[in-house]
Formats: sequence, C-alpha cells, structure tokens
Amino acid sequence: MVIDLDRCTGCGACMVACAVENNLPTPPVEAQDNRGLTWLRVYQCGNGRTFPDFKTVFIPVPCMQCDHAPCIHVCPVTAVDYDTETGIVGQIPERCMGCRYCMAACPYHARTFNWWDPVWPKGMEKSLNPDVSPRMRGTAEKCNFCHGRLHRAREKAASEGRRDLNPGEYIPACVEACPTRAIHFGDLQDSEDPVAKLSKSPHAFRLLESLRTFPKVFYLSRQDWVKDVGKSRLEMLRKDIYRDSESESNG
Amino acid sequence: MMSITRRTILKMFGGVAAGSIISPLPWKLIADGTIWTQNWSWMARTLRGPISTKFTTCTLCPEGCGVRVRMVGENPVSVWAQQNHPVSRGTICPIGLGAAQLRFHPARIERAIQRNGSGRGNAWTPIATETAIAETGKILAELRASGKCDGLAVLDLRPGRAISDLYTDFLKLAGGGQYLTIPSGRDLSGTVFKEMADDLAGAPGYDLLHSRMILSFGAPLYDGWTGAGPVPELALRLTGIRAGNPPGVIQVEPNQSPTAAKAGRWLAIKPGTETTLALGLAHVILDEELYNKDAGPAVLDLEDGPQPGFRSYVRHFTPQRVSDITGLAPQVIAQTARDLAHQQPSIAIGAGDAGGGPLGSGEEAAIWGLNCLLNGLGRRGSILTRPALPASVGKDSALKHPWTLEPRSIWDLPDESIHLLIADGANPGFAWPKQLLERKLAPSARIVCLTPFLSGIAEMADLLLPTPAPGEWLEDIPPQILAMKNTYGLAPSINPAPSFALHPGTILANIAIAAGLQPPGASGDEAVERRIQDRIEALYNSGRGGIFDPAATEIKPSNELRDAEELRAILNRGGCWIDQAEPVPVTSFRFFGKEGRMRPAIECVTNGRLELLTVSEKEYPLILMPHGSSGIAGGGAVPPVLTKLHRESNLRPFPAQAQINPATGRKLGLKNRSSGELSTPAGSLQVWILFNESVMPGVVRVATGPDPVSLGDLKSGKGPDILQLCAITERSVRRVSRAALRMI
Repeated sequence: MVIDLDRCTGCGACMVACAVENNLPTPPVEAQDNRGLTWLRVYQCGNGRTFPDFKTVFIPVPCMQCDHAPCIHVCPVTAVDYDTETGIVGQIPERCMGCRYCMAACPYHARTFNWWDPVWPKGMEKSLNPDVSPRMRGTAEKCNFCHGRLHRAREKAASEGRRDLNPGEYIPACVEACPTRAIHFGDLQDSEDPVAKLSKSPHAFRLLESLRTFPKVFYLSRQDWVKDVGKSRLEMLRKDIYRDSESESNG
Repeated sequence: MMSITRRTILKMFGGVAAGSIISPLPWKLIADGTIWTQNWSWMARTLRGPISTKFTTCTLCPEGCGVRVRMVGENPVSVWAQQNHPVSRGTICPIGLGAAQLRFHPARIERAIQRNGSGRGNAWTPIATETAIAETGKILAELRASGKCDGLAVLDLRPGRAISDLYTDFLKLAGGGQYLTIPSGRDLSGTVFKEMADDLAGAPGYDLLHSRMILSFGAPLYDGWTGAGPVPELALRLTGIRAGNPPGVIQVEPNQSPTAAKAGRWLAIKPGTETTLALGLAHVILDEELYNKDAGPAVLDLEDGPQPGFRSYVRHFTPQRVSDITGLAPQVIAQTARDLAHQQPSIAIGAGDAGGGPLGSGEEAAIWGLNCLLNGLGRRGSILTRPALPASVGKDSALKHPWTLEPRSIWDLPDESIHLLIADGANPGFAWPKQLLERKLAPSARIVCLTPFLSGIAEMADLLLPTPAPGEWLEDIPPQILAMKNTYGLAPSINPAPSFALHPGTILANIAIAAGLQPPGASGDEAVERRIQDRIEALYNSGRGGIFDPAATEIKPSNELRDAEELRAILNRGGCWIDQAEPVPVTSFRFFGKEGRMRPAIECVTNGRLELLTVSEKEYPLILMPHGSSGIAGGGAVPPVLTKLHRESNLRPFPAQAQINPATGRKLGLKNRSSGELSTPAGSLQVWILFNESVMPGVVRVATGPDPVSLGDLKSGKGPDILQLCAITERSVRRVSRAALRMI
C-alpha cells in the first residue's frame, strides 16, 4: 500500500469505510474518548510552528503489515498470523486471549483493544457485512487489508478458472472509499505494478524506518517536514491537533 | 499402608505445580476459554441470504452522488461509490458510506409523538397517527375560518424535489400560506448573482474541474464542498505543492481548516474582511490592466452611470488599505491578484460553509464582481450559467412546467407571522440559528414535522409524524445549486418502508381531508411518481443532454433513446441525466444590482468593521467563529459510525470543544484541556478549552455539530448549540461574533 500524504485531506472516508466493511462497533457513551475500535486511524499532525506558519498533514495509519512484525514475536498464543503468500499479517480473534502484548510491541499504535461487547443499536446488526464475523470483547484487533474482500476475490477468480487475481480485483475498503485517490494498493513484489513503482519514488518513505520492521505501507510526500514526522517523530501522531497540540501549552 | 502426612501433601502440591509448568493443560484452558468467550449467545449475528448489488442515487444531501448498494436479501448492508457517475465521479463522503445504518438510527421515530405541554422541552408522548393528523387538520381549518391562511407555512429544507410540488399543491388547496425554505450559503450566493445579472434565464454554476486556479473564500473545497468531498480531478491540485508552482487552490479564511491546510496558498485574513480583500484584488487587476478588455468586463458596469461604476468603487481599495484591514501583506495581495489574472481560467468562489453559515450579500457581490473582471462569466473553467430546465410539451402532462416554484426564505418573513408550520424533516446538512425561527413563530404557533428522525428541526416541533427513511421511498434529485451542469437522478426505494412510516404526501392529503378540503385522488408515492414522470417526459421531449447508464461506459445522447420510458428505466437503475446545453450568455452585470439594491449590503462591509463587532472589545476580547462539515453540521441524523471521526479519534472536533490559539490562551490566563465558559451578549455555554495552533490569535473556534443525538447517542442529550451564542444579522449570517472565554 502507498498513501500519498499530499493528497490526503483528512475527510475520514477511509476510517468509516473500514468500520463498515469490518463490522467495527461504536463503544458505549461512557467510554473514554479514543477507546473505540479503529483499525485505521487518520492522525492530524502539525509542523511544530506557530500561526500563521503552522502547517498540517493528515496521516492515515493502518496496520503496516511489517515483514519483521514485532506483534508476531510477542504473541503467546499464536493469534497473529503471517501469510507468506500475500505478506499480510492476520489476527485470529478466537485465539487471542487479550494480553495486549502485541499492542505494547507495535510501534505504530496500529492495534486496538475491544474493551466492550460489540453492540449495535436495535436492528442495526442487519446492516453488518456478512463476510466478517463480529468479535467479542477482550481481544486485540487490527487492520488485515480487508481479508474478507481477498477471500471474495479469490473465490471469484477460482470460479473463473484463474489462480491469480486481476489488478484492481481486490482492494481494501479504504482504498475504494478514498475520494482523492490518495491510497494506492497493489503488488509490491511485481516491479511493473504501479504501487511498486510508487514505493520506489524519491518522495516515498516508511514510518519509523530506523526500527527495521520493514512495513509494507509506504507514504509519499513532497514536503520534507512531513517526511521528518513520519521517519523520526512519530510521537507527533499521539500528540494530535485537537488534544495536545503543544505540550508546553500551560506555561 | 501409607500414612498421609503434611510432607506428603506438600510433595503432592509441589509435584502438581512443577508438572503444570510443562503440562499443556493451563494453555489449553486459556485457549479454550478464549474460543468460548467468542461464542456468547448474545453476539451479533450477520444476515444470511442472497447477495446482490443495486445502483441508485444517494439522497442524504442535495448533491446526488451515484452509489452502489450491497444487499443481503432485502437489506442494504453497505454503500459504496458508483464509478464514473457524472456527479460524484466515483467518490462518496463518509456520511454516504454509513448510510445503510440510518434506518436503524436510535433517533428514528416509530410512531407519532407529541410534545408534553407547551415549551420546547424534550418530553414526548405517543399519540395515534389519526389523532395527530386530525389535530393538525383542525388547526388548519381554524386558520382558514379566521382568514389567517397566511399563517400557514410549509418549510421545505430541500426544495426542488418532486415531493416539493406536493407541498406547494397542499398550500394551493389550503387557499394560501407560505412555501418556505432555509437558504444555504449556495442559495444565497445564487440569489445575489441573479440580482446582479440582468434578465438571466438560468442559474450560475462553478466549473471547478476546468479552472486552472481557484480562489476560495472559506468554501470547504476539501472538506465537503460537494457531498463526496473533492472530486479526484480537484485533488490532483494537491500534488502541485512544489515550490515555484502556481497554487491550484488559494484558500482565504482566518483559521486553518482542512481546506486551508491542503491549499497551495492559505491567506489568513482577519475575520469578516472577505469583501475588502475581493475588492482589493479587483483594484490591482484594474490598476495594472491585467484584465482582457474585450471579454468579461464588457458586461460589467465598470464606468460610472446612474450608480458609481465598479472601477471608481474599487479605486479606494489599494493594497496598503486592504492590508490594514485584512492583515495580509500588500505584496501578497498584489501577487494573488496577478496569479488570478495570469492563471486563466481562474475562478473565485464564496457560498460560505456548513457550520460557519453563508457569506453576506456584500461578500458575495464582491466575489461575483471579481469573477466578472476575471472574464469568468460563461467561460469554461469559470462561471457557467446553466439554462432553465426544460418545460413539458407532452399533451398528457399534468403541468406545463414540472419544476418546483422557488420557495421564499424564511428569514424574509415578518416576526411572529407563522401560526402553523409543517416542516419537512430532510437533513439540510448545514447549521442554522434556531432562535431566528423562534422569532418567526406566533406565540401559539404549532410545528408539525414529517420526519423519520427526532433530530434537527424535529427537536423544535410539537408533533412528529414518522415518514420513511432515506432509501425507503422513491425520491428524485434535482440539480444542485451552483453545480456546473443541470443533472437529474432518481433514488428508487431500496428496501420497503416499515408499516409505521407514512409517505409525506399521504400525510398532507389526510391533513387536508381532516381540514374539510378535497385533495386530488392520488397521494403519497403515486403523486410523487406522477410528478417524476412529468419531469422525465420533459427531459426526454426536450432532446437535451445525455444519459449516464451504470451498465455502460459512455454517456449516451438523450435523443438516441427510444422513449421516455427508457430514460426512466436507466434513471431507476442508478443512471443520471446530464444537460449538455450551452451556457446562457450574461448580457449585463451590475455590481450594485438592479437599481442599486445591493449597495447598502456592499458598503456596510467594505470598511472592514462589521456591525456585529461593535460590542465592547474589552468585555468580549475574542471573535467567535462557528464551523462544521457539510452534512454533519446541521443537527440532522447521521450514521452512528461517524463516531469513528468525532469521538473515537480526534480527526474532527465536536461541539463542546472551544479551540483557541495557545498564545491567545496564555494571554487570557487559560489552561489547555480545561473546562471553560464561553460567553457572548446572547448567553453562555460550558466548553472544553483546547489550544490549537491552527486557530488565528484572537479567535475562538467551535464546531456546530455533530451533536450526540444526531450520532445516535440519545442518553447524553443534544449538547451545546453554539449558534445560540452567535450574533444574528442579515439573512442569518453569523460567521463572526464577539465573545469571552474564561476557565471555570
């Protein structure tokens, strides 16, 4: 996946599409802010300057699907699964015992914990995606590049006698929903794939590259300060604009 | 026989403990436990059934985006963008993505309810639908008997639809009354244009797709300007950020909204000085002769006549003077004017935003004048004046002209003139000041709302009658205000309406009968069906335009269709009629409007001092600016899944948050992330203070929505309505008010 940060307007369509596709419930009202389930989260970060030199970037952060995923190594019950064919890091809720080691290990804060039973307003379970099972409380959850869609695409290909998927036949919900086409999805292993080419662009970078987790989600930006945020100042993701826009604020 | 001693017991327990370490049993118990806890009986079950796809048009806002609905049996489970649709161009907004949840919204009403006692409290009592209709009919009959038919009003928040015709028919049947709407910023912008353009038989529209440069006066281009946000082509400008590139989008607004954050250039002007800047840009263009003398300005009254000409009026708006008023550097003003003149076609757009409200007439007039100077009328990439929609010519047509009459703005009514208000419960998608509507109501006025949800205007009503939710009844989608081209779409029923929901047309017919009137035979779906048929025949008979069919890849000319039925069939399966008619030429454009009617509105804002800012600066040192996203700002029901943006993350603020620049906060002795009281001469509200570098110093910025009820949280109540604190001026404009903020 390649996400063009210069194109992302922070509209949130990707977050909503992800929740609709993967049956993510809303938490009860008494839940603290930020305790809900978000498999994909768009953070709003600043450049650290003051008005009017202040600049904003929106950074969508799904699971990075790392090649060297820390969450896999720390899971005591093998609830995190690495698919060698697709490179997707999967999460198996039936195995997860809720220890949250994986959440502590993930440097991208890409995992969330479902603190509450998944409850929808009366009748709304009729609007759930039949391809994705709701998960009970007490498990860690994360983006899996819309695994249900991958299964559907594979079945369709198989029914047509194909083993390989056609380009664009399988895309995650966030990619489909993005109105500015900021999120690109394809095969990084195929050097002819547009996404593989984008990932090699001089404007491409990965979050916290120095950790050598080798994420499969690349970002594009033509602005150096944005690359700095992504490469070395990821703490800014946690200091988003509406909460802690400046730590020394109470001086 | 072995005796059991204390030592034996200890050995046994020790052995068990040691054995457990290498035994798989505890791990097995943990694993089994986790599996077991994933299988509770109360777990939500997804539907099973045949999966299908339906193409249709979204009706959640006036935009009319093409959508693809995934169905399980008769139930929609998700809504996605329809690729290649000429209106939405394969995009969809977050609200549309969650649309499948709306029919189960917790604020949905499943029977008629009436308010307990008088006043606008929150207590409701169920009432039989027949009784509710009889009561409303009785009030109508009393109004007619006392000769106060003008006290009857129908409020249509989404005029132009086929159902709107039923509202006007109802008023005709009642023998009078007012057909009203609450105008959006776009409505007001279009009204000002028509006031300035002589004898215009059409409507203005922005051709954003083909413009090279867009100067946006606070329009949320990248945050819901269209229902689906920016069209992909517009987003292409976002990648032209490299230094030296001319900015594709210049955003003019005091605070750094998402659009300002993404624009190629952000001009942070002082609040309320848009008119001054627009006239200052015009001054530079005229002074440096950057305009094409043979084109646009030919229709503009540049030179003095009965009214002062545009040239002599803008002469005083030198870059230095404009700089003093707006806070921008003179060279920035001059450079922006040159960029606009050189990057042709360029376009300046106003129309306000969903939370902050419309721009005033003066601002809109200045922006239209600037467009005219930029050769922007009737030119590709600028302002295209759309022709009127075709009238019926079919002999069986019920109407000569099947398109709805224009409603009157509710703000133009005298105060206390409404005795019975029947309100359509469509979500307008923008915030409006409820206190202004209160002013228009007589002391004993009754509000009857035809709505699926207890949210938005329904919260002010005395009586609610349940109607179908979006997707449960046949609706049509007329052209959007300020759209580049006329379009027409249909949204047939995706799933059947529940038995408790009555069609608004049926309700009106029954109210008429209860009032002793004789409505025409058809009502409800059948009446809407007829109106839609009229419109489709008018489109087909005109031979104008083309038709987009989701099943095809190209837009087919309408005159290649066999008959109106074929057009209808394509529209029914999610197609869209799109006009290809040439723009209507504008022959004369008067800056001060017909007979100089716009002059007071322009002059009151060009001195840079707004009337509403004359409140004591010492007592109210801040400027309050409400803001909000399209579709979410207005208090109407939105899918609960939007909590992902507004509560479960911090991507978008919610109404209780008062954002203020850290420097201003420190100066006022405020602390970040603390409780505060925001006050204006109109009252005060408790807020949560948040320091935010994107807010201009001296400004406090508060979102108008979404309130908890509109998101489906009925327990928390509505939450603060920031518009109650805002100054109300001409036509509900409330973008800036004086305010004070203190910690509590």
